[in-house]
Parts: sequence; structure tokens; C-alpha cells
Amino acid sequence: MSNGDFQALVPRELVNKSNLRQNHYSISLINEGLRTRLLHRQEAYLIQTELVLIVQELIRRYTRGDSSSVAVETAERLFTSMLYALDMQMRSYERPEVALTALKSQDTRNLYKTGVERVRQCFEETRLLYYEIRRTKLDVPVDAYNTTIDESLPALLLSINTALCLTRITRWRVSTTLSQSMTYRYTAFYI
Amino acid sequence: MFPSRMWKGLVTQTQDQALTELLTINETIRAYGLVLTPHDVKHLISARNEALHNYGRIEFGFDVSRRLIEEFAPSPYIDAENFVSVLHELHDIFYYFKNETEDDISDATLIDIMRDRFNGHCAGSVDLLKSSLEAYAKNFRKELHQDELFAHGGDDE
Repeated sequence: MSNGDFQALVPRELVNKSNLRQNHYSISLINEGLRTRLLHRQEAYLIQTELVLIVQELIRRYTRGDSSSVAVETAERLFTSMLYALDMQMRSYERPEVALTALKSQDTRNLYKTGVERVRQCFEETRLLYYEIRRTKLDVPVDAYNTTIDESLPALLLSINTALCLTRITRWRVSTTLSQSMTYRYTAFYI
Repeated sequence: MFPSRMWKGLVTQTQDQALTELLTINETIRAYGLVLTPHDVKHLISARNEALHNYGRIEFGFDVSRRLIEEFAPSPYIDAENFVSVLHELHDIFYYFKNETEDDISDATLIDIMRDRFNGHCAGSVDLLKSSLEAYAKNFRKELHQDELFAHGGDDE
């Protein structure tokens, strides 16, 4: 029996869900995978490298290929957006262990793309909810209520749509995090 | 929180490649009597990293360094003695003005403007180049904000 076979027989601890963070779920999942040895250091490194390459591609799209550098804040926003989409996909799995297996066995870029699609669907639902709110809007003289529905929400909706369509950005500085889509969704429900 | 370790790993990896890549430019600049030693290139990379850090920017690849070397090597105000020190300052100027022009100007355009002014009315003075670009950036921002104002006005209509 080789050393590798012996290691495979060692029982592995399952993921402790309390160690998984709501914010940056995928990163905490990778850390938890390393702790429980469900993920090898080399596998984690490869996933991280893939994530950096995705951000690199987002930066290229953001600058339309005209600039090789961006402000740290912009890189952070794009990174957070990317992680948000990946988190959407990772959370969709039944159990964290299954999500880890997907991270190990599937192309990280594809997982990210599927996550973006999930965010897009969520955005579409949000958009429909907004139209419903507009349709049923009360005729009351309350500034905060009217401004939120008539001005703030459409502006937010537009900025999220822009973030979702990075390839179609017309102004460099128009960008936002995808995480705002959830904020918007909650806001829509709240109203 | 931004996982800086992830960037650091990739950046370190690319810097080793950059050293080899930037040294190949010697084949081009030798025609102007200029040569970059591995020591010079390492210092240039440090200057570039320091400028990026100082101005809060992140960059993938070394295209800017390569272009600065290629575009300024033929300058009549550059010689073997001042080449490396001028390049250090040009890196600093470049990233500073990327911020000052609010990321709304391409790398190629900014380098072209820097080169034309350096070779033109600045007559090889880095200090004059800075002052000249300050004025340029001020006008650039003014026009940019005016455009935005009109664009927003158009949306409202």
C-alpha cells in the first residue's frame, strides 16, 4: 500500500458550517476545505489563481483593453463582484461538501459564469418586482416614498444592469458591485 | 476584505518573467546607444511597484514599462547616463497622471502625450513635464466633468 492510499483511508472531518461566512462564502469554503483536508493546498492555489485570472479579465473589459492598471478600489469592486457571483453558485449546492467537490472538479471559470447567470436571473426577478411596485404605487404625498420609487430604485437598477453587462460599459467609472442587487431585492420587498 | 495574498502570488510570478521580457528590449534600444542591465531592470521594476503602491493602483503585466522604455529611448534628451533615472521618474509621472485624469485616458495616449511634451517644449526636463501635465490634467478633468454634466442633463430630458 502506498503512502497516498493510506492517506485516502484517513477519515476526514466534515465542513463546520459555522465557519462559513455569508460574506465571501467561497473564500471561507476554501479555507474550511483546507482545514478539513477536503481540499489540498495545491488545489486551493489553482482555484485562487483562476479567480485572479477572472478578475484580470474583468479589469481588461472594464478598461476596454486601453489600460493595464486600475485603482485598487476598482480592482476591489470587481473582485467583490466576481466573488458575489461565485458565492451565488456555491450556495446553490445542497451541502458545502458538494460545493467543494464542484470547486475541485469543475472549471472555476464555468462556476463563475453559472453564478453570473444566477445573479442575472435574480436581477430579472427584482426588475419585475419593481415594475409591480410601480404599478401599485400609492398616490400619497410622501417625498421619501415617491423619490425612492421614482428615482433611487431606477438608478440602482441601472447601475446593477451596467455591472452585469461589463462588456457593454460605455463609461469607465460606471460600475457597481453585484452585491447591490441583493440590497435592491430586499429594498423592493421592504417597500 | 481584499485577499491580497492572491494578488501577491501572481504578481511575484509575473515579475520574474518581466525581468527576462524587459531585457529583450535591449535589442531595440541598443541602436540608440542604450543598454539596460539586469540590475537596472530590477530597479525599474521596484520603481514601478513603488509608484503603483503610492498611487493606489494595481497592474497586470509590464506593458507600461516596456512602452516607456521604447518610446523614450529615441529621445534626443536621453543618453546612457540619465536613461535609468529618467525612466524611474517617468513611471512615477505615468501612474500619478493616470489617477489625475481619472482613469479616462488610455495608457498609449498618455505615454504619447508624455513623450511629445518631453521631446518638445519641456526639452528633456522631467520637472517641466510634470508642470505641463498638471495643466493638461486640469483641463482634461474640466472637460470630462462638463461632458458628464451635459450627459446627465440629456438623461433628464
